[in-house]
Order: sequence, then C-alpha cells, then structure tokens
Amino acid sequence: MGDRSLRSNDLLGRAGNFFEPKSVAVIGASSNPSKVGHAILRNILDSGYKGRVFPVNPHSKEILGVKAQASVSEIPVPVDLCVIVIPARAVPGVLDECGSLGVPFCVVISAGFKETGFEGLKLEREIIEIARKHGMRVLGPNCLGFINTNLPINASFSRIMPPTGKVGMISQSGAICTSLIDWARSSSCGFSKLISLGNSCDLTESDFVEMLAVDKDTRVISLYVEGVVDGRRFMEALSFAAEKKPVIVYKSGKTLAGAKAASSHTGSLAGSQAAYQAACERSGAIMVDSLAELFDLSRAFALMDPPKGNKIAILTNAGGPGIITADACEKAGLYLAGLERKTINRLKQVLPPAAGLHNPVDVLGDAGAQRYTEALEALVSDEGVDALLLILTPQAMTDAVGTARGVVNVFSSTDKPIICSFMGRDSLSEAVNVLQNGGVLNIDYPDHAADILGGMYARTVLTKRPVSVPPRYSVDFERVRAVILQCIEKGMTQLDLESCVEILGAYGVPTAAYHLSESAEEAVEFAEAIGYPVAMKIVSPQVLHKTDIGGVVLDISSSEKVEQTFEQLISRTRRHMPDAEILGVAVQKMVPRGREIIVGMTRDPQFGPLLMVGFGGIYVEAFKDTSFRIAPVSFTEAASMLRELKAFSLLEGIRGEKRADIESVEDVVLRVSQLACDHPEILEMDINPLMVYNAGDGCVCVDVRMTIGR
Amino acid sequence: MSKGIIIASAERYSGKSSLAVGIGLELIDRGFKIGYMKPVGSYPVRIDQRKVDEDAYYIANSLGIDEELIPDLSPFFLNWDTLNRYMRKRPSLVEEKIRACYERISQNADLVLIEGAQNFVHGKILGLSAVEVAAILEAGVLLLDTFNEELSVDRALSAAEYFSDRFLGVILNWVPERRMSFAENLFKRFLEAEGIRMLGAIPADRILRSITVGELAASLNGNLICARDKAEELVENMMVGAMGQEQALRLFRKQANKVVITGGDRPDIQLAALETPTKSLILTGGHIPTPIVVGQAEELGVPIIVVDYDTATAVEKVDQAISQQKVHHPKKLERIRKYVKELIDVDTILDIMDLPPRMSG
Repeated sequence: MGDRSLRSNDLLGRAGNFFEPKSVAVIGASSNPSKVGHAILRNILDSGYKGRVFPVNPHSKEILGVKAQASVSEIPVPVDLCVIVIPARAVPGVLDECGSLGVPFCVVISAGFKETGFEGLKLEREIIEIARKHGMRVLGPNCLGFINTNLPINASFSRIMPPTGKVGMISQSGAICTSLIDWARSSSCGFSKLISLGNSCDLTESDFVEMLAVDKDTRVISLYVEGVVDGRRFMEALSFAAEKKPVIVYKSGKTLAGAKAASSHTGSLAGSQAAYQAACERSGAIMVDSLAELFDLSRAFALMDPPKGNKIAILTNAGGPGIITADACEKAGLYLAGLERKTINRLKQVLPPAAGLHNPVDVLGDAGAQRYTEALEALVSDEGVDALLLILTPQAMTDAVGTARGVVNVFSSTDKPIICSFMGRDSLSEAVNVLQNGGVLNIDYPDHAADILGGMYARTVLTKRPVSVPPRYSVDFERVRAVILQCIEKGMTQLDLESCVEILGAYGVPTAAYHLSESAEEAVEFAEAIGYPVAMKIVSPQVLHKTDIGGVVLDISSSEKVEQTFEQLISRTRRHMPDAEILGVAVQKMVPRGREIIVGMTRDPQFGPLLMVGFGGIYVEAFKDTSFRIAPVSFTEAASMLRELKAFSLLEGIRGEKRADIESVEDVVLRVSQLACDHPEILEMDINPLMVYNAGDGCVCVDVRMTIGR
Repeated sequence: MSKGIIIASAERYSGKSSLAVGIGLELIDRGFKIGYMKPVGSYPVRIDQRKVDEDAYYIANSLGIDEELIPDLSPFFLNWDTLNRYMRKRPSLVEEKIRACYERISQNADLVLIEGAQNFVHGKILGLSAVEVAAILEAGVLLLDTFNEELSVDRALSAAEYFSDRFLGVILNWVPERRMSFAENLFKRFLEAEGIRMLGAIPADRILRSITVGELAASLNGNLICARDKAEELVENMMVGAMGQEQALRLFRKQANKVVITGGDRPDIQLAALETPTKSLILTGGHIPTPIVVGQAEELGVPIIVVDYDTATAVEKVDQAISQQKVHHPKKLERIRKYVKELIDVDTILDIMDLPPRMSG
C-alpha cells in the first residue's frame, strides 16, 4: 500500500503536466478527414491550444498546415504528451519509443485491446509493462481522450468543446462524454476537465479523482462508471477528494439486465450495488440513480454551495406545483421551513390578500416580476430558511423574463442556494437564458429540482459527519488461523458447525453451547449434562436450509424426547435427501426466544468484506430489510447500520416492549468486521439467527455458516 | 492352488477397475508378475482388428500386460446387441473359452486379477456371473462395496454366504471422511466376529470420480474454444448458473474444481465463475461468448466448452459423464496407488493366496 500511495502522490505532483502539456505529438495524425487521427489533430488545433503541436506520420510532409514528423524521435523538442491513434498492433512499439525519449504521458485512443479477446488482452498487458518500465503514465486504450477547457486543449475526438466551467467529469464511456458536452452547451453548464477512461490499463478513475481533487479549476467531481479497477483504492481516492469538494458517482449495471450488459462491455466483475453504495457512503461521495441527476447535480454544485440545513422554502405562482414540490422535498429528505413571523408580515405587505403566506408560498397566477422578487427577498432573509425552490408556470399575466432578472439579482446577493423551475419550454426559453446567464440553475421539472436540492443537502450531511475509527478487540487470531488452514488443507469450502463456532468464540462472539452427537445415547448424555430444555439440529454439509426438511426441533425437555428426536431427525433427512452425508445431530442448550437478527459478510470482488445486518430468522428472505457497510466499520457506522433498518423500532421496543440490547448487536457487528478483515480466507459468513435479548441481557448466535477459500 | 482373484461388486460404477489397477501396480512394485482379465466386457473397441473392452485394454496397458494377450482380456461382451443375440441362442463352449483365455494369461503370472461384470449377478446369461467364474477358474472373490450406511453390512454378510469358501473378504470404497473411523473400527470388528475379513476402506475422494475437461467436451459434442492446453485438468463437481451475478458468486465459492454450466449469453455469470475456483465453463445454447470473457478465460487457463444443448440437457449429460468416468488419468492413478499402499491389507491378500512376500526386483 505504501508503494501505491507514493506513486499516486508522485502523480498528483505532476497532474498539471498531464492536463497542461507544453508540447503535444499526435502519432498517427492523418490528412484524411475520415480518420480519427485527423479529427484529433484538428481538435487540438481548433481548441485554441497555445503549445507546440507535432503531427507524426512517416507518409506525410504536412498535415492541416503543420509540418509532420516521420517519428517521435525526430521531434526537435521534448514532448510532454503523445496522443496515439494507430492500429493496436503497432502501439507497443511506438509506446516504447515514447518511453525511451522520456515522454511522461501518453493517451492511447486506439481500440483493439482487451475488449477484443485474448490477443488484445496480451497487447494491453504489453502496454502496461512498457509504461511501468519507463515510468510513463498512460490513459486508455480504447478511449475518447481528454479535454481541458482551462488551458485550453481538446485532445479528444469529440468534435465540439464544452464551455469552460467548474465540473470535472470522468467517464468510463466516451460516448456519454460527447452527449454531456452537447447538453452542456445548451444549458450553459461548463466543464473544467473531461476524461474518457477507456480500458483504464494504467491511469484509472481513482488517479483522476485524485488529480481533480487538487485541480483548482474543478469545483465538483462527476463520475460515470460501470465498474472500477480497484475498489479499495477507489474508496481512498473518493475520501481524499470528498474532503475537498463534492464528488458525485453514477454507477450503471445495477439490475440483472444491466449487469449482463456491463459484463460484456467491461469484462470485469462489477461488484454488488450494495458495495458501491457502501463505498460511497464511507468515502463521503454522493451516489445518484440517473444520468439526469448526475448532470443536474453537477451543475448545481458548480454554481452554488450546498445549503447549511434542510429547511426549504418553496415559492410558486400555482398551487399544484407547490404540492408536487412539497411531496418531492419530503422524499428527498428535506423539510418545509416554518416561516418567521417577520417574514410572514413582510409577505403580507407585498402579496395580495388571497395569496398563500405559509410555505409553500403562493404569489398567485397573476404575479408579475415585482411581486415574485419581493416575496423571494423576504424568504431569503428568513433565518429559518436554508434554501429556496422557485417555481414559475407561464400564465397570462406572468412576466417570466422580468422574474428571471429579479431572481438573478437576489441570487447574486445571497449565499443560500436557489433553484428555479420555470415549467415549460416554448414561451420560457428567453427567461431561462436570463437565469442561465446569471448563473442560476433552472430545472424543467419541480420535483426533480427538489431531488437536486436533496442531493446538495446530502453533501452537507456528509461534511458534518463525526470522524470515528474502527476499534480493535483483543482476540485469538492464531486459533482462527489454525482452524482455517486446517480446513483449507482438507479441501473444504464450507466449514462445519464445530469450526464455525470455534472461530466465532475466538473473536468473542457469543454462541450457544452445543455438542455434535453420533448416537441417541450420546445426545441424551449431553442433554442431561447441560440441562433441559435443549434444541436439536441435523448436521450435514448438504442440508443448507435445515428448517425446510424439518431438521430443527426446539424445546425438547426429557431424555425420551431427545432419543425420539434423534431418530426423527435422521429419518427425515434420509427421506428428503437420501444422498446427504449425515455427520450427526447437534444438541444445543435451548436459548430463549429473542428478537432475531442476521449478521452477514460477503467478500465483494471489488471492495472486499461487505457487512450486512438485517432482521433475521425466516424473515430475512421475506422482508429484505438489510443495511450494508464495507469492513472495517467504526462504532458510528455499526450504530448507523442498525438504525437504517426499516424495522429498527422493533429493537427500540414498541408498544410497551422493552428496548433490546442494541449495543450487544453492534459489538457483534464490530467483531465480525474485525474477523472478516483479519482472515481474508473467509469469503462468506452468515450468523442467522443472532438472538437478541432485552437491554443488559446481551445476544447469542444460534446458527452460523461460513464459506472459505483462497 | 489357483492364482485368480475376482473383484466383484453389488452395484455398477463401484470402482473395480481402479482397484484392479491399484492392487496390480502395488503387487508389481513388490516384485510379483500380474495377470489381468475381464471375462464380461461392456464397451468393445478394436485394437489392431482385435476386439477388446475399452477399460480392460487401458488397465492391461497400465499393468504392462503383453500385447499378445489382447484377444484374451475380455472374451465376451454383454451389451444391447449381444444380449439380443444371446437371448435367441445361448453361446456354446463358454467355459472352455474362458478357461483357455485364463490359462494363457496366467501362464506367466503369479496372480491374476479378474474384474467382475457390472454387478455380481451380471453375466448369468452366459454362465459367467461372479460365482460361476469363480467356480470355473477356481478363483477367490473379493467384494468391493460402495459404502452405504444402511446396506454395506448386509451386502457383506450376504456375499460371504453366497460365495462361501471362495469368499476372500470385503473392501469398502467411497467412505465419507467422517465415517472412516466407523468403517475401520466398529464395522470391521463386527465383520471379523462374523468370520469375514475386512481388507480395507478407501475414502470418498472426489478426484477419483473426476473427469477431464477434454472428456467432458467429447461427451457433450462440444467445442473447446480456449485454453486447450488445460483439457487434461480434472473436474470434480458441476454447478449451474442461472441467477444474478452476486448470487452466482456466493454459490460458486462453495465448490472448488468445478465445471460451471450456464448460457452462452450470460457474461455476468461467466465472469463470476472465473472469479472462483473453476476448471471449465460449459456455455449452452450454441452462443459464442463475448471476446472479453474468452480473453480472460484464456489468460486464467480455464477452457470454455461451447455446446448446442440447452442448459438442462447439458446438465444431464455432464452428470452422466461424471458418474461413468474412467480411471485413465495419471493423477487418479497416483491417488488410487496411494490408497492401496496405505489402506488396503495387501499382506493378508498375499497370505490368503499363499504367495510369500518378495522384495521388489
């Protein structure tokens, strides 16, 4: 890890060189306008780039009026950046030449690498080798390139340049970049940097997140990803950036159909949606659910600081949109502010008697620019209002352009965010232009505007979070290590109950005492020793869902019953699963009923151990009331995992029921978190049910399953 | 004194061929000359125009049996067409033929291992069930029994009664790891009290029931499209992928050395399988997988088999192929030799056959 952070620090120091090259070579530049090599050169020249440009093509003397070089070696000055647009097979040779000349950065636009199969994959590996050998950093291959609007330079094959602005965009899809640029031009949204990642063979999303984090022209970092190269590193990069500015992540491939499509596109296991969610939560990045939200929230952060709180005022000239927006606010985690008396008095003075003076404030359909502006001023100066949503519907008396001018004025004199929703398009385009030119965000639909404000507030919450670190318990690490190695040695993938219980015990997770008996006599002997009542369960590696075959019997209170139950369990298993290997019957001290919780862990291919808690027993499959975090978790995270459950109130105790021992569950979560981090061989784990008792009485793990592997 | 030992079983696919090779090689190591035959064959192949049972030929080869003896290895066959023939007209001179073959095979051997037919009554139509072969050749009978909690003990008792004086003893096969101590203690003590020899117990070892990727491809008429150099890898288990990627990953982690069967149009499941210990991917529906998956499989050395069958049919075929796998793999051979050396009471077998121990030469 030390090595990696060094490398990235080194990269951060040189980020300026990547985005601001003093000289650029385009290898594979072409005079044929239908070639990408032509488009790239033309784009660089047209973008107003002030540095030196060298087309490289052994077959041309001059391209687009610039003298062409036969090879990189013949360029008379040191080259800061090479953009490579030649057939894939020729890329390694050229890259090696660039490396030998000390070129620090290359962008490989060419396709034909891992996306095409094994031969392509080998070529891509070769590129990585060459880059490492020379200490050269490579963007791509199979990408659109990048744009820096501040320099400016358009080192991509996007024909158009976006306006200069504050959004730093990183996208795994080049095509999405081109569409965002197009949208941006019509909505006066500007970008600082735009990077298309392509196959991310060397420079990855994490590198660019860090580079944009320290980029003074970037105010908000916006990411579109289908999967990431290294989940843990991604989290570190997000945390680093989110400390400095808002980071918004849109991850596609969430559904079965989407994951199928993403798999054939990127060729990597994306990791679970829950893991991405948890990774963003941990790092302080904001995760969005649609491309529209990614774009609009980026615009919002580019123009405004997030609100200080979640008290919103809605100003409208119609009742319907006010109600729609109020609904949307609540869904987005926002509250309608209760207005101060002095605000209401002020509104009374500027609004007609029929107007709605309480939030949402309705200026009525005949409101002109002045009435709107005065009401807006009154609301902005209310101490209890953190942000404003201004809605305008085009009615007969509406002065949209005048209102827009008024809004721009008020906006420029306050630090509270104001989002407008001028509802319509045809008659409102001029007014919307006024808003956009004045730096005011306009969103077509008012409910979507509320979502965007909700996204901004999420940033406020994230920046106010207390910092807490994962605890370290004193545990018997070596014992667990020995059990795991022994099981791996035997070729086991699913651990037997004995090993699971031993492992949990070594990490201080309370488990119910049990004995694996091979005969009815043995079962009776143990039951007598621990005292009645007892529970009995069939133990067989093939029986995964014991209750399905009647493999669990509870509350057995005599030796005769134990004997009977033993026989019953064996014959039930034989009947349902004649081929199952029966290891015996576990006799367990009957634990009293409590509230049943599940604590689970699955090792995500990208992010590592993903912890889960939920309501357990047979309910886990019915309600799917679960929450996730990436291990290791801190006290605060363990606490919030439980509090995120919809049925959390069941633990707090409702209708006279006592509060459950919530702290003991948090303790188990923290211990499982440490176990998962200490022993990477544990791939999956389910403690289900964890029986939780009333406050002070603790909890106990009744059943557990683990899958191991290397 | 006869030199023949018949390895008989109560069920087919009990591991008779493996045990024959294992005991044979162990005895060769100890300096004995070993003969081998399988009076009733199942799958005839032609070797230089000579008809021989496929398994028997392989085993004879492993034991270094003289090529000249090929026609004697499996003089009779029972399969669909010969059975129809024999039901219309029973063959004559069966005894004479068997005896003649056996004599040629045993001429230069200290001991002849005789592999029984599918089970110990099979071959009766020819007069060649285990008890009859034992009488003709004056051979002893060894019962190889696939361990079954409820049935093994009764099969051993019945076999002892049925084969009477010719019965040599019992070897248990496919005993679950956890039941080995039961087999070696209570089970053994019980049989010995009944006057029945227990000559060893072989644990359930998935490698012995594994199949090579190449054999799988052949049994499915499939097309191996990458990592062809891994066609000799052994597959022990099969899993089917028809869920989401996350569930697939959780499931696939639960088994090692497996083949995963899934649709050719499910790159998400294919990638999940490649993330876990997987020996091969069988892609159904005739879809050629996306190049990016093929590239990764090639790099990881996981062969992809593309088949035209739908997933349900492919599962059935693979299941069949795994249950009928052969001992023909160096890794399996090595395993069975180890078990024979460590767990089979070869000294007692030699003692019964009146063969004094020799030092290997």
